[in-house]
Amino acid sequence: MKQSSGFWRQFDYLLFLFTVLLIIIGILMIRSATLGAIDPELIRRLPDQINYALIGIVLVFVLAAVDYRLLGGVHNWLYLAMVFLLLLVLLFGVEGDGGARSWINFGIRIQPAEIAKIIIIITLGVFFAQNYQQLDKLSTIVKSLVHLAVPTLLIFVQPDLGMAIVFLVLWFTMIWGAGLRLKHLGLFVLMGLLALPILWDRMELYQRERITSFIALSPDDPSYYNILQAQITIGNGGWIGRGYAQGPQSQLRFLRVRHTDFIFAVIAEEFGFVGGAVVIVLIGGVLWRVAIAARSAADPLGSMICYGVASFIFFQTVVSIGMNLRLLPVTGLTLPFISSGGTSLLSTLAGIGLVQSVIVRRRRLT
Amino acid sequence: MAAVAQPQSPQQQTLRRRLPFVIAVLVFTAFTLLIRLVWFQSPLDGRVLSYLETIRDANYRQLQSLPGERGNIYDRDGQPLAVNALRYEVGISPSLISNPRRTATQLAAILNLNELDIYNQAISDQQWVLLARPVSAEIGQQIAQLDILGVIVTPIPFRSYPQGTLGAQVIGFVAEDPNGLRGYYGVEGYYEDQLEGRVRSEEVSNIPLDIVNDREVNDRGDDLVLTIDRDIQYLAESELNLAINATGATGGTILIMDPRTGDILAMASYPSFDPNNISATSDPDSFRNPTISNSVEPGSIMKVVTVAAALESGVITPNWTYNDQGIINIGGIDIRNWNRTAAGAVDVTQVLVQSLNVGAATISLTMGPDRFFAMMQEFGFGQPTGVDLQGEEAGLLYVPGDAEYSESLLGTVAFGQGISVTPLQMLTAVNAIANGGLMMQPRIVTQIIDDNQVINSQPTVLGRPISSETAQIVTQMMVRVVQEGVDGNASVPGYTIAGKTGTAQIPTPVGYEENASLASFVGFFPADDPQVSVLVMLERPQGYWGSATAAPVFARLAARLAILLEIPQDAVRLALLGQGGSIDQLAP
Repeated sequence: MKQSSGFWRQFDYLLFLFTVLLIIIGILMIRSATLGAIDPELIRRLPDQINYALIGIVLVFVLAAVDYRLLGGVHNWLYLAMVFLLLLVLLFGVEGDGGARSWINFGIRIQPAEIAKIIIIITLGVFFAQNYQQLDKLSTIVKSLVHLAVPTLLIFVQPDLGMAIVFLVLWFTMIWGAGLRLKHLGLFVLMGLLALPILWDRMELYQRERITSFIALSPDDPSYYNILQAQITIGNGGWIGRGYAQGPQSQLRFLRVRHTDFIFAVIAEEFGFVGGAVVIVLIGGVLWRVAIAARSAADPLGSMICYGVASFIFFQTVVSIGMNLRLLPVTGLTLPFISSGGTSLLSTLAGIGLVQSVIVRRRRLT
Repeated sequence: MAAVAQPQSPQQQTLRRRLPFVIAVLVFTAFTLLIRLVWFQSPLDGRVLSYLETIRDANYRQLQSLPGERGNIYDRDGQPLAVNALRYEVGISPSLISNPRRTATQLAAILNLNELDIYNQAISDQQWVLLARPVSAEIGQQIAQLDILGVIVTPIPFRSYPQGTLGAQVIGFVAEDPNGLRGYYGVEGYYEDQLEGRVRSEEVSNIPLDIVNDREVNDRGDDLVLTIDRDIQYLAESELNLAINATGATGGTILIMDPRTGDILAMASYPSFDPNNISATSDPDSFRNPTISNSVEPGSIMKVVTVAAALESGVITPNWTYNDQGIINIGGIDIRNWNRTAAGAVDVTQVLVQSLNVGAATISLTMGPDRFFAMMQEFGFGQPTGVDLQGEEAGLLYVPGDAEYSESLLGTVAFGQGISVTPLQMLTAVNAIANGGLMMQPRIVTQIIDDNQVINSQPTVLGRPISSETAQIVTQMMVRVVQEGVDGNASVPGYTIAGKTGTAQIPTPVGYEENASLASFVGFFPADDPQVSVLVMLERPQGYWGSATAAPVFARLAARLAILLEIPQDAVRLALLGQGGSIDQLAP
């Protein structure tokens, strides 16, 4: 089996190793964060994460085996399926932790925006690959924006601001990678700045509070407690940490939403600076492998997919860790590979699967 | 594969050109995060740090007041009269309850509450909800044994009176106030400072895993031992109730003391209250102890004091006589005898035996206001006795010089009108006669036990209004009152009783009540060596006269007291004394 042996030879084992290490760290930290929990919802987090991780790893291989160009061929159907799923959320969605109606209950609860994130990478990738020659025309850019706007608005009204921003970032990185002119770039920055007041006006109260609490932390703020506790937690870790499952801040429940939003603080408390740095370096390693893949991809679609995957992993990592480090406002975005959350882990691993698919089919001579 | 040999498209060249920039951003961001992570390890700015420490301390620790246990109260034989017990408070933390439906069913059954109410509270957003307070120890234990996570059973201390209503007015009661338990009335109120456990403020940890060390009870309040004898108190209360039922009196008091020490052996008044269930008492006046808080016009029992005062001041001798004409006018007021007759030529003893108002007034008139009222003050009237009970009143005694004083008082006070005294003041004064002229300070506490240190309260002398000779003469007169007078109902076979009845009219703002009296008897025995004194007062009894209502109560009491206090009959005792022994040899 020539193709099969080629698959195993081309497969990026280093990328896979980083991925698996990060997942293991995630599972260990979720265990630590939910130790002794009595809330059944929390107790379920650990076995769920393990199950989703196993499914996700299978998904990596499945997607790596499937030619991403086949997926590109059915991009219209994928786009329609994505819009359909997001409309379902609007009609039948249930509330998640953050208060947004971003979940559908099919027996198991899924978060369609996470699936949409992977699909939009493929469909946008196909769009840019087909239209890169017209990219200097403003009409092409507007078309791509419309392409993006449909799912993004559906997500924004859920309202899941964090994910909507991820979509914008995806679009921006991909169009920039596809060769956006610098003057157009300037135009978009300007438009973005002008849109900010409107966006602010449309935001939910809790979303505004997250931003105001970042700019000027006031004790009346509902996030005040969480943010300060995260800072105490991280400071408490020191250079090498308090030891696994030994962090007083997280084990004694002073730190809240430990298993998702503030999981990085738990890592920093129990494994210290070293632990935090290892996570940052491992995710950096993943991004490095994905960037290499983007460079060596056989075609523009492959490159675009790698760009998209790298950008959302990068963006979510920076936002999540930045929030723990009080560099960015609290958004509720998950830390890729590590935070508890089934659909989120699966979509990240689906992204890695797509990248592996691109790597397996890369140009040989680079 | 087809794609393998493809040359790079212009787009991919763009991509390749822009890749270093991407990597630069990546590296820059990673370093920003790492530097921030390092920065978080550095000590915080002093102000921020102290602020965070405040928050931390608010989370980890809190200042808690830990009141020590209240001291117990015992009777003179160590029987517990007031002790501490636990009740419970049941609350729930809704967020911790995994099965609100079942929890509600279980709790509703035990607490006898509405199941739906509990269910609604169990699913509420509140941190903690109070379900019931207080519940008994049994119910608290039952709920604790269910061991449901999120159902919190907290012990709350409360005061228990194991003897029930016995001595309620002497002991007082304890009620909750914001700082814990606080004593009111009686001993609980008077000795609040001693009984109260010392409150200590202590920082306690909020960390659930922190071990709470059991604190020693060295902050406990002092224990008190009372002069009250549980058996005598019971006797007094049951005799009082019998008398109330038999005579239809609206109220009454029985006070039993040891005249030699001032010890109050029993102090009973009707109506009383249940200290274990004070909320059932609607009228707060019931908490007052009439024996020390109610001033009354004592009536004829006052005559023994008048006679003692006159003998002591020397204006009359035991052989003094006068001609009783049945009426005397003092200060514009006509004073008559109770039976509206003239007794003729009679001596001092007959003034008491026949209870002659005219005779008493004649004696006080002979003394003159200065000497008479000075002696009345010597006997302690008009001022509190200083007994160690909360709520003592001083009574009213107007003396020359007071705005309210009028000349007629010189005549009326002599037979117990126009003066108001508390039952305790009255018996304390009579005790002076019983105790050879020494008037002892009435007391209720004999011992204060502080940890292992016992402080004994010593009997104290309040004063010596009369000499022992005078005391003996008056005692002999009182013996003849019981033997010869209308007070024969008070006699006890085998014992020589000294006593005096009283039948006072009950004053109102306008004159006196019709057909209503305060019937009383005061007495002590054995007359030659008094060991116990008793005052019986009945308010508005049917039968009106003290000799008919109060004296028989005294007789029954005295017969029982002789047994309880192991007082041998006179014949036995005198025979022993004659052989050079003493009654102490009889006591086990």
